[in-house]
Order: sequence, then structure tokens, then C-alpha cells
Amino acid sequence: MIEKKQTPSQQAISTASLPDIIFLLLIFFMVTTVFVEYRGIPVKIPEAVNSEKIDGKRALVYCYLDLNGRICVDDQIITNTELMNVMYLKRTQNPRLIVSLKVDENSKNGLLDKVQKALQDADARRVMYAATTKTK
Amino acid sequence: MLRKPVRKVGDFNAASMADVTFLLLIFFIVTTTISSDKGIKFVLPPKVDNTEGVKVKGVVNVFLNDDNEVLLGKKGKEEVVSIEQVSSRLRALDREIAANGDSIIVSIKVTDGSLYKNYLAIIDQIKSAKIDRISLAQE
Repeated sequence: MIEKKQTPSQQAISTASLPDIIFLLLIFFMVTTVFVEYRGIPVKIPEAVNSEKIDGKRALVYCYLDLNGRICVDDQIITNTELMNVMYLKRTQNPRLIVSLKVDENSKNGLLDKVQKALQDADARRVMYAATTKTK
Repeated sequence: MLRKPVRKVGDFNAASMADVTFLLLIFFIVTTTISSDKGIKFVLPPKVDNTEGVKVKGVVNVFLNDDNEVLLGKKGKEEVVSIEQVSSRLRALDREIAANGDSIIVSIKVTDGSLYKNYLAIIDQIKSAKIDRISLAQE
């Protein structure tokens, strides 16, 4: 019979490098964390097949349009003309701005049309229609 | 004069360092939201004061009305289609227009009373047909 080699019974893993590993993880999470700044208003976002993931969370501004025809940016209900001023300011601060339009699926296009015209006036033309991915 | 007491510098205890960083780590793991921003990218047309009609060839009109019916086709040849058909119709028209040496432009016109989900469904269908040139008709 083959004799089993006896493994050394007590071989402790060195924990000296544990703080370093944890520290690395910590730095990773600190860098990637983006704190939620605004909560928005409840809207039901539609589904779309071609919905893609948008990179660059920091360049995103959320604009909520709900069923009651309210426009909400940065947790404030604003009018259409105010929207233009707000977006113009944001656009000058960040030229790579993307406006994420979170529109309720049952709202009318008339409101969206007004908002899009305001965005054109503010020259914040890069938008994205928020949509969840539809499973075929 | 008072003499300052010489403080003995103690050894820095690095053993608790791991615990502190571990706590911080847990805090950041909990607060991190994995980015879930999904949507359809779209670039609005630049604002022009004097809107002139698109005079190029290869324009396909898509209309959406208050009753959420879709009308699709070349100018004067629009037909009523269902939203699910938009993609396949556009593909056929794209081939037809490409055969004539032009490239397709889809012009969308929606009424104020139509529903947003239908508008987005049309945009989605156009993206499915791999067409990038979209124009928004505005009054």
C-alpha cells in the first residue's frame, strides 16, 4: 500500500497581508461609489428591446415627467421655462451632459414635445429615454 | 519656566487597522449602487429658426395619432401598420431605397395626445431596423 504522506497539521495562513487586501477593496468601492443625490417622483418606465446600458453616471441628469404633467429635475417641480434655464446652466458646467428622460409610459407626448423643445433651446441635445430591457 | 514633559511615543498598533478598514469597506459596499441606467440613446436635432422641409430623397414618414395608430411609408404612400410591423416595413423600405442609391431617413411625427409608450415603441422598432438617421418633425 502506498503510504500517505502526512500533511503538516498546523500551517496557519499568514494574515499579515489581509489589511492590504481589504484596503484595496476599500479604495475600489470608494472610487466607484456615487451617492444618490435625488430621489425624483414615481413614474412607470416603459420597456424596450434595444435598451442599452449607459456609461458615465456622473454626466447624467434625471428629468422626470409624470402622469400629472409635472416636470421634476433635482427633486424640484419646475416649469418648462425654468427647465430651459436649469439645463442651460448644467450644459455649460458639463458639455458631455446626457439628460435621462424618465417619462411615464402612459403620459401624453405633448408634454414630452415641450420638454424636448426646451432642451433644444438649452442646447442639451443628448438625451436618453429611460427604458427597462424587454425580454423577448 | 515650566518644562514640557517629554512624551514617549508609543508604538502604533497596526492590528486594529484591518478592523477599521473593514468597517469602512462594509459601509461603502452597502452604499454602492450598481449602475442600472438603461435606456435608448437619442440626439435631438439642433434648433433651427427657419425650419425648411427635408428635400432629400429617401424620406420615410412615420405618423402616430391620438388613437395610437401608426401610418408608415414614403410621402403620399403611407399605410396603416401596427407598431410590431414597423421594423420589418422599414427594413424593406431601407433595401428599396438603398437599391436606388439613396439612404433612408425616418421622419417621425407624433400628435400631442398620443401615448409615450407607443412613441418609444416606434423608436425601439427603428433601432431594431438598424437605422440611425431619425428626424423629429416639429411644428
